[in-house]
Amino acid sequence: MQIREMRIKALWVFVAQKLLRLGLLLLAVAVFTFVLLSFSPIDPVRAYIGADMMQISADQQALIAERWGLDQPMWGRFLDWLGQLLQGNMGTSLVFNQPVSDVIASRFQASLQMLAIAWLLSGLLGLALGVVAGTLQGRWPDRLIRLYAYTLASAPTFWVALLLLIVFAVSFKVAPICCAAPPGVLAQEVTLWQRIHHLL
Amino acid sequence: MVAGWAIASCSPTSTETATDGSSNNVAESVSAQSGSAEQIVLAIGGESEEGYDPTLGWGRYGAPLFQSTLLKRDENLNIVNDLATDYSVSEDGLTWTVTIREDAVFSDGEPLSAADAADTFNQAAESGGLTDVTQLEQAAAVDEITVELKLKQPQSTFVNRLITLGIVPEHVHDDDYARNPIGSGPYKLVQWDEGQQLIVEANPEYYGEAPGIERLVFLFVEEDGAFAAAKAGQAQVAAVPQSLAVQEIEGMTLRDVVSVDNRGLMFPYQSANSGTTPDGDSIGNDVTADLAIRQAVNYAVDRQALVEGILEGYGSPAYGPVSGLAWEETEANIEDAQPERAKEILAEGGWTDSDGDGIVEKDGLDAEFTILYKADDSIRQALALATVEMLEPVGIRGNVEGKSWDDIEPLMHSNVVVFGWGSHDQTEMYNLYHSESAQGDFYNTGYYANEAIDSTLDLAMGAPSEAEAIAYWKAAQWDGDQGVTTKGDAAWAWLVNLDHTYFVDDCLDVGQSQVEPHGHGWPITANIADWQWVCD
Repeated sequence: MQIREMRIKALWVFVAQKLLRLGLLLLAVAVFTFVLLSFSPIDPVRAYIGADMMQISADQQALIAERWGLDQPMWGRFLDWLGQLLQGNMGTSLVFNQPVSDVIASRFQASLQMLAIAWLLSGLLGLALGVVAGTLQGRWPDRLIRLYAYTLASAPTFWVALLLLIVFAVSFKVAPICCAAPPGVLAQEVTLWQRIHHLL
Repeated sequence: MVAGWAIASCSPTSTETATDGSSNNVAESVSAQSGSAEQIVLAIGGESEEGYDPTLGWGRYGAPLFQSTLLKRDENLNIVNDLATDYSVSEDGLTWTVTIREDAVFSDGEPLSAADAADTFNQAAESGGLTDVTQLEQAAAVDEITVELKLKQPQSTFVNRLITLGIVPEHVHDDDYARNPIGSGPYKLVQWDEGQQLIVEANPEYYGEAPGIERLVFLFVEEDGAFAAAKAGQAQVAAVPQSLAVQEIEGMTLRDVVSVDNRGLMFPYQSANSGTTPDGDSIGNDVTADLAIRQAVNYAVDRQALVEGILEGYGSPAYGPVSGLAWEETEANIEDAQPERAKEILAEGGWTDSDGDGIVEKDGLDAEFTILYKADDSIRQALALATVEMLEPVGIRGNVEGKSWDDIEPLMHSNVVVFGWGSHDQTEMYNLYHSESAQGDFYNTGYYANEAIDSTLDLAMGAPSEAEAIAYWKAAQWDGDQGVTTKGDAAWAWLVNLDHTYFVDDCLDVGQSQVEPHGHGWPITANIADWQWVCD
């Protein structure tokens, strides 16, 4: 009985330690990122204005900095952010002018779908081709599969993707050129087949 | 492999924003693949990641689509009424009074009144976005149809705010507005899949003539993707770089639109050791501080050859900062590609090659400078390299270096830099050349200073109307005696204006385009409500 209780206790201590360590690590990463970004030579206001630089006066630049809180000192900004985070507010994205949680949520969905499909296909295809190659070692199917594997391993993915896009989307017009749904079709009308087609 | 393909072909985001039940019928009857009067697909970039709020800068060029503005520029850049029926500026230039039409209605059915216009301007004046309304003291609605805008100082370029600032409805203008824009413009938002596409539909409440195309789909893809989409017949308008413009696409015609999207060499105007910027960067360069050097560069360069060789012919020579605009002083243009003339100027200025090394010198100083350009911009690189070749025969040596903006910034007040600007707003010219603009950032990087030019620019800025200001804007370029261009102080060597090249479906009539500002893509939408589908 006592031994079991002790074990459970040890487990709790272990979990608590790990969690504490995770928390400290995250905090350290946050502080580090914050300090690094604050000292970076890139001025976010200037990056935001870009080619409109000549039409934006110094007064307006100050307004932009104020909207983003960049007029506050670094530590004030950090504590503000930390306080908001503890209350569950992840802040607003400067780029998207939208809550960060919304931005992550919307992008996570599509990425997850693609990740799942890619993982599934690579698992199935990889296993099947591997088994075939293994059984017929040295024969022509094995060589073909190895050639295929070497080609893919040595060619950069974006280049292969571009080639495939040219062949299938532009020349044969069987694959879509862009996006998670056909252009101009409303979200509620996108069919399952269209979704699958565009996931490709 | 499949994963790689998927990532390249699909931008991994999908957010469904605003949907409108009434639009279903149109969508079902239209094939997404080919164009028609019901729907066209445009791959011209221009996504506003921040959303579509004019008080944050949406609509500062091209069409605001969802909103309408008090005034607008026609195809010749003349100022014409849109929401406004009339406007006047007080004698002291401080009060702008605008009367607006009574029949304008927002797409949610609410009428647009002077109070909405006043609120829009007041909001924009305080918001930290990309539209600069900081000169506004206060906007107030005098009655239902009259709005009065009081300025802190006279500003003739304030008219550009009346042209670009879309009026937003006071009753729904909150934090969510940017993603659910409601306005009195020709189109209304149907759906925005961020990073992918924007679908808009004609706004039945629009007071103007109904747009010729019922539904527009904007695909947000890179230039290569735009070209591929056009080639596959999936887009009816595609913005492509000059290098792809030489290609051919069946059923489409290349449209090259003249622009003021310019590139030029900025010269440090002060002599070396003229002090430092507020950030401590050094100002000045003894070689380019000499007028003879700056003028010789301007005369030696063959701009037409740059257009042909680097821009594939899709461009035009630039002799000043505002080519093709109504306030360009064409008298300032010169006959260039004259190395002999350049040599004469150098000799008259006291620059001779006494040691026989091919480089002229004066008081022991070689005519040599470094030309900096943004490293990942191939056009700027080619312009810098070609210019150096053209300067060699006249005895000026240029050393070309590509760097990032962060590395260029500390050096840009003491070295020649390839810059690109170009705007319909004359504020740009003021900030490029006024001596007080030079504060160590991108305004007047060369610390150009000429009192006479300063006062001409101040007169232009302080004039009550654009029409009256134009004479001064022109005089600042060249008034027969002085000016910022080659015959005067030659503060810059402007080189070329880039044409903006688009593939447009043969069945689509996009009307007459404006001379486009800096920014390839979205500006072509300036007259989008007038576009017509001319095939059955």
